[in-house]
Amino acid sequence: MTIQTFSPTQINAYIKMQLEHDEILQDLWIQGEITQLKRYNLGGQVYFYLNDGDSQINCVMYDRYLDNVPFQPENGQLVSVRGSIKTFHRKGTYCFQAVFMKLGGNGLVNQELEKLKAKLFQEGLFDETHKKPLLKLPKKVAIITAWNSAAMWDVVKVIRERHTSIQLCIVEAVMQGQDSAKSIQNALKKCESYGQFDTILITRGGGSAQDLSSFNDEALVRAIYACSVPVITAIGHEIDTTLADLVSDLRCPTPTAAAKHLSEGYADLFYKTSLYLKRMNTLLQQRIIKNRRQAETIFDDTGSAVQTLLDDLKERIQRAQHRIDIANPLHKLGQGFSITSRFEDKITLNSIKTLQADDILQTYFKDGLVTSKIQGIEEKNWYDIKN
Amino acid sequence: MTLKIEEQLIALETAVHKLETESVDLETAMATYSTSVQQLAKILKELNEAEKKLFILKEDAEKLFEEPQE
Repeated sequence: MTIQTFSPTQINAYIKMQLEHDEILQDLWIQGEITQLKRYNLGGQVYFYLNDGDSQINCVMYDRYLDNVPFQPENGQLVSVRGSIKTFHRKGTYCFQAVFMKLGGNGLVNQELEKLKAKLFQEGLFDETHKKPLLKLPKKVAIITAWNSAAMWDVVKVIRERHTSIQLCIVEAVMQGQDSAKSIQNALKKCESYGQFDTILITRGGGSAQDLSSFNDEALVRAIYACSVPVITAIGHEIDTTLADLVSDLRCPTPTAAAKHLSEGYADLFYKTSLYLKRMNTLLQQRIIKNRRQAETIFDDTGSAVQTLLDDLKERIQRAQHRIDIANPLHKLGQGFSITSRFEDKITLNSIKTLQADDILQTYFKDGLVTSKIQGIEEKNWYDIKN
Repeated sequence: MTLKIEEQLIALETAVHKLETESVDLETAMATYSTSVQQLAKILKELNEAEKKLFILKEDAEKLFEEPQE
């Protein structure tokens, strides 16, 4: 038996003939959800896939046909597209060349997503009451992301720049594609079983709706809900909100925003601490100046008081010195005064009242003493004489 | 210190007052006078010491209030 063999050119030419001469395939409508839409400014055409949840078909629509479309095609739209199958025999590929498009409600994938969202909402998975409180100053944070991804470095860079003491641990996971949801669930389990993380961040950069679709996986959403450690999500860009974002304890719009949030408490603490230090320094300076002024005043007042006391003492001492000079008994004797006592009892006399004639007296002069007998007594009031 | 001097001064003033007013024999008067002169000398010495100490204290305190050098 002879085996017939073909070259790729031959078989591609055969397929092209079959497909492009098939009546059905040359004018048909396909309904599906637009995904991975890309616009080419140079030629003006758009490339996209039509997706029904299980399968997808590569499509192109050239600018001359786009002018007839009454809306702007976007990812996620359910559309009905008219066109034909075209083959590219060199590449051995085919695509659906669209010539017209009309809106056909929400996409199937979107419809499924909305159903799931409603179900989880009914179950209370998105309730604020179930959100776990996040630490203001997290110490050990697990980052579930793709190793060496832009998102990973965005987070690491921002947190390092802010000089926080947060310990980061990258827990590698597949962040898009078929295995992604399971991979992230496994990473979550690892983080939980390690038991030392106080926060988990699930993050990745932007991508198409299909790239982010694993974050709408029901099992992953439930795993995040059940996780005992607070979970922050930062998935895609600001406009992308997945079910993982809705169930997480905090949704940040971007990886950088998540890093800023994680380190915010430290930045705030640093700012407040430096502010308090400045205030304390100012208060201390003010207190020092005030106390110094008080001390100077006390010093001046005390100095004045002591000086006054000393001056007063000096004056009194001078007066005492003068009085001592005058009170010097020899000084009085030198002036001509004398001291007289009765010879009998040596009592110094200052009156004639106790004296009588023939009493013997002793009189002290500056240069000796005289013993004498009283011959007469005459009482006098010297004040009267003076007056 | 000034209080101690003042106490001594009061004692001296009392002695001088006695000397000025009381009728005593010459020996007693001379003894009181002599004691008073000695007391006065002691007070003057202590006053001098007090002034010196006060001066030193004042200088030390002024140093404390000097602006610190940058």
